[in-house]
Amino acid sequence: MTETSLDERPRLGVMLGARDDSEAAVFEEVAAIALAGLADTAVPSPGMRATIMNRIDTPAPRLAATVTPLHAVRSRRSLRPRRRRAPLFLAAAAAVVLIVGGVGASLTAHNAPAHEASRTLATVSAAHDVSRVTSTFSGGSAHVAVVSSASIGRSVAVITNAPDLTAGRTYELWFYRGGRATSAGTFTPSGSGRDVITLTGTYRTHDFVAATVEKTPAPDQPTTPPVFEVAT
Amino acid sequence: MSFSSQAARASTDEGAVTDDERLASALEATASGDRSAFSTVYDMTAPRVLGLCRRILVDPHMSEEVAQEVFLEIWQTSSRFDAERGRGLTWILTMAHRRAIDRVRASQSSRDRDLRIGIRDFGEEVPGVESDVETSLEFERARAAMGRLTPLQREVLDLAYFGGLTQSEIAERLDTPIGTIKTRMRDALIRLRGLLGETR
Repeated sequence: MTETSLDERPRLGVMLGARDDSEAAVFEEVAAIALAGLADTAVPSPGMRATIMNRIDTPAPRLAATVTPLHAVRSRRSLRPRRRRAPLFLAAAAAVVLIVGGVGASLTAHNAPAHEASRTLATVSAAHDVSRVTSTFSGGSAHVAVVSSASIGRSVAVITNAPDLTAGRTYELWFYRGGRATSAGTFTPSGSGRDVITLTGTYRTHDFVAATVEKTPAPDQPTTPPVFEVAT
Repeated sequence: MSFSSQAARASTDEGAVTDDERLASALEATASGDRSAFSTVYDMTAPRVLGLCRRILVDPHMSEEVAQEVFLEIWQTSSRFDAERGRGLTWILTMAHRRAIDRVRASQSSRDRDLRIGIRDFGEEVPGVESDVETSLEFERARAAMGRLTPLQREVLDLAYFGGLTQSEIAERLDTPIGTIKTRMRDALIRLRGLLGETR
């Protein structure tokens, strides 16, 4: 018998005999209610919560820098008409090669201290007109959530598992509005697996938010296809 | 009415019951980096996550280790949760089950797992639970539903879910054709689905 790793095993529903994904979801729900429910609940030790919170606040060791081919993004914003897709960027089927750039003097790096960006995120998240849009990139291994508020005029990107970049390259964020891209700052992954970035400039309703990878110094206009792009 | 909404509405006990909308909202906010929302997710689900780990792993220390891993994974991947595709508690407990079984399979051979698991009578108390046990309406319904399965059906579900055995391993363990095991397991789950959907 060969032991399979966590990622290689079929999903639980399939292991329980489901014939397709839909049935697998049903079986997993039955398992969660009927089978997991047979296990008595247990009160965690006092230190368990603190340990978890400390770990999410502590950056993980930086991973070795790699250049990873990126695939075009797919927006998870439902009901968004495809006609609103930004014409600046190429069609979604193209694979993207990372090109890294540095930070230009006119651009402000918004790999800001974590607490500042988190405060901005909290403020924007609490706004009455908050907009949240998510997407994936890097073949689905990375994820971005763009949280925006026109009343506050701010947009924050929460990026998970962004691939590391080689020296001399950076991610550059963009607002795309009225047929024109405006740089919204640059960032490099912190290595923790999660980065919160406040976009430079004033957010307006229905702005597109996108990111490219550029060589330093970062240009005023995108020079590569987007890593991700979302319609807010 | 969908199975999901029936199951969600039927649960009324404050301690062990998940407020589906509240948990889904907390998971969505967690995906945006809301630490407070993540704390809510933890408070709402930690006892059940840890309880499931304890049931599978038994060892309290190992169970907490795995439970911690589960919540770290929730923090990192909450963006993948889609409330339109299922309950937050299902998503979380499926994740916890997968990690606990992975730990079991990594640390024990199939033969050891067979000897350790045994065949549980679902009418018995679970040994080794030190803390307060929350008796939830959902738990009572689940126990009642399991009691209406045949002993053979309970056996295969026990081996598969709490033991982490594959259908092939169960077939070998019980010296039963794998086709029979597959049918028995699937029939049991479909039966459970119907029973849980019938209750208020």
